[in-house]
Amino acid sequence: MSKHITYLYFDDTPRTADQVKENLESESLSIIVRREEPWKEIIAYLLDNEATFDGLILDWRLDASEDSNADFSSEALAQHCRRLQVDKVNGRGFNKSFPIILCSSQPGFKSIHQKDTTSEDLFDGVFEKNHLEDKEDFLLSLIESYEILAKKNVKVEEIISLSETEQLKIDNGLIRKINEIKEKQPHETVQFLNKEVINKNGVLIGEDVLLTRLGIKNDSEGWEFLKNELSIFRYKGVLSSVERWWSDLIEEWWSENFDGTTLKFLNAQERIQYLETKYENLKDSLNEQELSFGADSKEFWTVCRATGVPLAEMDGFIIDEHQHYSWQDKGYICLEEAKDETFRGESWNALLPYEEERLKSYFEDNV
Amino acid sequence: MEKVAFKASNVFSDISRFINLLKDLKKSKIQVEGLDSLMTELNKKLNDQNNWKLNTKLRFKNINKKDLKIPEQILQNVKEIILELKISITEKSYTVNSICDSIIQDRNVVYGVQFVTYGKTADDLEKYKMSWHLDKHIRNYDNDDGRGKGFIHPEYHFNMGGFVLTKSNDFNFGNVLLTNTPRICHPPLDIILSIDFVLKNFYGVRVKNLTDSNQYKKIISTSKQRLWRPYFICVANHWESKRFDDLNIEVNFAEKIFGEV
Repeated sequence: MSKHITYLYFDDTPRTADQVKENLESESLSIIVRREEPWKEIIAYLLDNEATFDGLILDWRLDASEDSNADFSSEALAQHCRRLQVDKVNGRGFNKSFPIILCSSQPGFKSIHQKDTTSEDLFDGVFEKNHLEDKEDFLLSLIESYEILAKKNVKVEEIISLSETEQLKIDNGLIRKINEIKEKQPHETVQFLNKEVINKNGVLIGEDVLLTRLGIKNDSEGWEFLKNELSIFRYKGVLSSVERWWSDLIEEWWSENFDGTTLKFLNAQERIQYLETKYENLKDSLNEQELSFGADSKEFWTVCRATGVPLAEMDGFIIDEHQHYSWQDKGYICLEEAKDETFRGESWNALLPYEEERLKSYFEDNV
Repeated sequence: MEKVAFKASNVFSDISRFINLLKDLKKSKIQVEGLDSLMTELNKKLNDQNNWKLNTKLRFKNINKKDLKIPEQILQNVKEIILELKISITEKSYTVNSICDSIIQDRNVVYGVQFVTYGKTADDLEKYKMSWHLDKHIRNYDNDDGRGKGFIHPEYHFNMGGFVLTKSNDFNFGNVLLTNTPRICHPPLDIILSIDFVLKNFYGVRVKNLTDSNQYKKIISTSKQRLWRPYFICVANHWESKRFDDLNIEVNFAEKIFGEV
């Protein structure tokens, strides 16, 4: 890590804030904890000391403790900071854009925050405090991302770290969209990538889906080696602190290396056989993924949103949710979850109408 | 109550998975327009699982024109070939032991599958055109069937030409004399089987990975089970009625298929 990063952290309960600071700080990251102040003072402080911090962390309720001086909400402060990042108010403004994180230790905070979506776009991350504590990499990559995105005429290549030839191999809609928004404020692009690309399966996939598509379990002895072989297809663009892979590039690699076959149309056993012929050292070191309850195809492609078991699209039940963009995959749950609804309301809300009916007829057939 | 063999949800679920598989066509640089709106159509909530109607229009692009055996002097004028597939289908569910025609056609709904190929010229005009369509014979539901001016109409038949070509006055037919062609007996196609028909007739090896896959074949085979099993059992039953004693077979369906009634 080249540069030392500092986040300024406002909280009305210094004791918990110090704990977060202690757990987060490292050689590359410092946290400066400050108490809340009345509106005028806090704005003045931020403007006067812009050079001393790279990003901002706000406690959700700065007015929660009895002796609090906060006469405003964190959302209002964030909104005002965003404004000062693009424009001057009363002759003063920030010279740079910087990320703003919201956190809280209040139980149920995330669900309350999610109910009020008016402030959703203000923050680059919303965390419960104990989850924030292991987000060092994310906080650092945010700063790096802001720096890249603040550049004038930044290229798509710099943002997602794919060469122009590679860009031709992925969903063109994504490239067009990035071209469309990259000149906007960095936080808009950051949030878009975070929400619609990195944290949705589709053009990028996480390790769980990658394993599913290769047909192997993550406890396989040979996985580490194989994962390393596939590291050239890892996402290395902005916010790459989480591991993601370019699904199209992996499929193309597969086709080129394994007799022009289509990865999706092979079953787990065939996939493993191909891998073992290419890499001799993988012989007998890859464990095949198993069928989940009631499933009958081993042409695994996705994972159950609720339980994480591998699923062929045929065997999953499709979740009723809108795919905002063409590069996003549908979400599925396995039969067991569809039947028991253990995580309903948490990781999924409803099935598509025809899937709901299909589930019913499944029960009629298998009483 | 006897068990129902196929409901709307089974069919919709298959179509949706089929559309998902077709995404793979992108890798073969084949573009199909209209799949998104078909998907939206599927997501609407149905009141009646035993009766469903679907209308869709898809445009298949990037057809390799050299594959189509078109005379050279015409081919040189054609920049691009596009195939438009229009399907209008209304189906009803049926119980496992009943052998019947489950595609509905009456005063309100008409069944039809159209395959129209356009040859686009350099100035983007759709100057060249050919149309094949699969119809269900339209019967006069109040009185006796007029039997279409005495021409044979097998219940489901393929026909080349027809209204799509003849209705436009400015269409240049060249030297081809387009008479009404024979109506060729053919089992019915739904959305899935129609798309399969286009892929296998117009793209060949380019879609082989897809059409050879188990996932694809499974969906195709379910559609055939739903529409072709009754069709062919009725035909077989025409001669071998004793063999199908345990099935409840629709009267006259075979005769309609043959164009005899």
